[in-house]
Amino acid sequence: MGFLVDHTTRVLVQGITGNFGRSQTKLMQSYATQIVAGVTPGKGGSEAEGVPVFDSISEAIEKAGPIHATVIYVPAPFARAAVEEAAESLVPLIVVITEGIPLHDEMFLRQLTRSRNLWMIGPNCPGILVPGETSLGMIPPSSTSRGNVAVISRSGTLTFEITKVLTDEGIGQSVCVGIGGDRVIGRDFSDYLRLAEADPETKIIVMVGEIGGDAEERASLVIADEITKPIIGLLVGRHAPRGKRMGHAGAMISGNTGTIESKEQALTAAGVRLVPYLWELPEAIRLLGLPMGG
Amino acid sequence: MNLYEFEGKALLARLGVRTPRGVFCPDMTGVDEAGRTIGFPCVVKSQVLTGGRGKAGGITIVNSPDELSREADRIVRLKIGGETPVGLLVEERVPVDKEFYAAVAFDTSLACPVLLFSPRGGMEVEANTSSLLRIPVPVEDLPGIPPAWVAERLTPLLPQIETQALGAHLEGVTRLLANLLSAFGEYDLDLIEINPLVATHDGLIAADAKVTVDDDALFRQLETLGLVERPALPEFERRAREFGLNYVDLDGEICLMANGAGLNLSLLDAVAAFGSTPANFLDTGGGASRVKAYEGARILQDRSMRDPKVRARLIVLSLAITRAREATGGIAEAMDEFLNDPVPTFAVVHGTGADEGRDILERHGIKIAPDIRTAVEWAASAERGSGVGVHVDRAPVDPGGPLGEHRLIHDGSDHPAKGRA
Repeated sequence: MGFLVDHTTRVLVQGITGNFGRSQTKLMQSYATQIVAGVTPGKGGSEAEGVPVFDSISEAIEKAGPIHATVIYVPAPFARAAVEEAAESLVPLIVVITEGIPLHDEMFLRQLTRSRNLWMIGPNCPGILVPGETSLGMIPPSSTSRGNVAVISRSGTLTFEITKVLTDEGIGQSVCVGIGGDRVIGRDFSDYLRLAEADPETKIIVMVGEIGGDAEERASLVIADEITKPIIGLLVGRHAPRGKRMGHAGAMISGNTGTIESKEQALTAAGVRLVPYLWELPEAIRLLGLPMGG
Repeated sequence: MNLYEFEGKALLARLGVRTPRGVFCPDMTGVDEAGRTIGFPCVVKSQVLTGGRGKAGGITIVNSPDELSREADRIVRLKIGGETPVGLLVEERVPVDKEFYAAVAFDTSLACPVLLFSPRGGMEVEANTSSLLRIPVPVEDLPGIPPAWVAERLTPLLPQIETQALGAHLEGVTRLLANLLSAFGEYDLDLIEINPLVATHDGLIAADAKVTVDDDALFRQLETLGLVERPALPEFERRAREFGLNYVDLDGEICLMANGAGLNLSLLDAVAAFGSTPANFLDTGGGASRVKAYEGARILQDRSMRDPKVRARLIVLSLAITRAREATGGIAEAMDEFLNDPVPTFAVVHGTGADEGRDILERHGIKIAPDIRTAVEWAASAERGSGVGVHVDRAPVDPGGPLGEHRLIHDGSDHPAKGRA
């Protein structure tokens, strides 16, 4: 079994009939992702990229068989309903690509999916790709290669660049996952780090964080207690202007969290080796002296 | 989006929270009438979104109609932090007995709303946030939390002495907090803050209101809230927002554009690594459609043309959603509209259809780098005036052309991060 998903994962695409959903479906199919059904309310009975489209998830399950994961391309105003439907149907893995979902919807969906023991990746994420197995989302397969480094990132396109830098240097990945760039996401760094710790394919973890929030600080607590595999960290945004988007609310509540310095301190104390620039990742990985495969 | 004080207070009034009697005047026209309605002494408050109004002279107490029109005339024209007030709020002066602090905010760590309260509000709170009492609110409990729920949790947090100080106001406070909490959910708020919450002999009055609405929820709240028109954004921010891009002006030497926030952030750091400074941050979003790429490139051009400090432009595209042909086509179109361009442009293109994309950019005078480090290194050592567009008119650029010299001088050998290019 791969990291959350593998080649046997049966995937549903919500919002499959939109331009975006359609082109993404094609991209995933090119990576042999098993897309067994699509859902767009009102478009049931049609087809998109050779995939049967249904009005609802329950209908899709009834007619197309079991669904292990769903990838959601539904526009932000309707994303909450789409995730709720997936959660009602107990789809175990819900990948929410959509960006711009309201904060309150995200708080609700995080709580909903977690309380049902479902795994929501995102919102506002590029998805997950397990090299040689399957891809759910938009991580370009050409930038990845199979190996033993788990890339876990808050970012989207930066993740593509990182996997490319690793692949170009002959360092393969056990998984590439963008966990989501919004203030509230379904699963945190700590959840993914625990998976990486348990995953036999993963030997090294690359963790990519950025300014804002305290996801990295919280992760550092779990790292210190539970993670034995080496972690290389990259934090971006050191030279971003302070307070540009951090209004009064952020400052009042988080105190010193959200700054690179705070994250750096927490992660370093937890034993994470930090590199300042993405091009220094391959060397940092090689210095660990572990057999890399890939 | 932040609400003006008068908008925030209108929202509070809707919730049944008492606010000082007040009249909003967009200009001087209604000021005299407002004074007659409110009576004297009254308070004149500048309506700006920038903080620190009081210190900047934007709030004053007036005792007569003459003083009111004189002060109103001054304040309405007073820019605060570069911001012109949208109008004035003429308000009754509230006798202050005690000042509390009450708010509902979003707690990043817990991913849920948090109630904040302090029996000592006013200026003290901002200096001493640790004095705030915090009650996290489970998301599933959020709709319709009763005051009793709040009381049950707030009372044990209050030291004995504070409970006594709150005295008769405790019930009012819990009702108010429950009220703020329901508004927080109903109006998609990031923050609703009352500081100070003034305790008077006949109840609580919200003397100020700070309300922030989640930008991502404006599509369903803008109409409900009925807000006044916001001040115009600076040109580049405005142009960027119009096309769904995110622009932040900085004050450095290299104009940046990339598709994705993390990628942009990493460029800011990379630029610093090579001893230079970013002139801006410009995120086209992951998609980088032809239109977005075009508008972004135009902003980059205008920004770099108007500021002689800018030595280069740098564009990084890591594409998965759109084909490179689309994004680079948009950039090429912008380049075509801009001849005699003294600022050299460098680009990195990876992902779907990257070869074709690189080719398109190269044919329009953009120098292609194999990776981010190389691109930043070139840009950081480029000179204004070596602009590819000056020398080449939509013709392929000779790799050893005008920029070859810079490559030779700065081949990365003097830098700890040695180049692969």
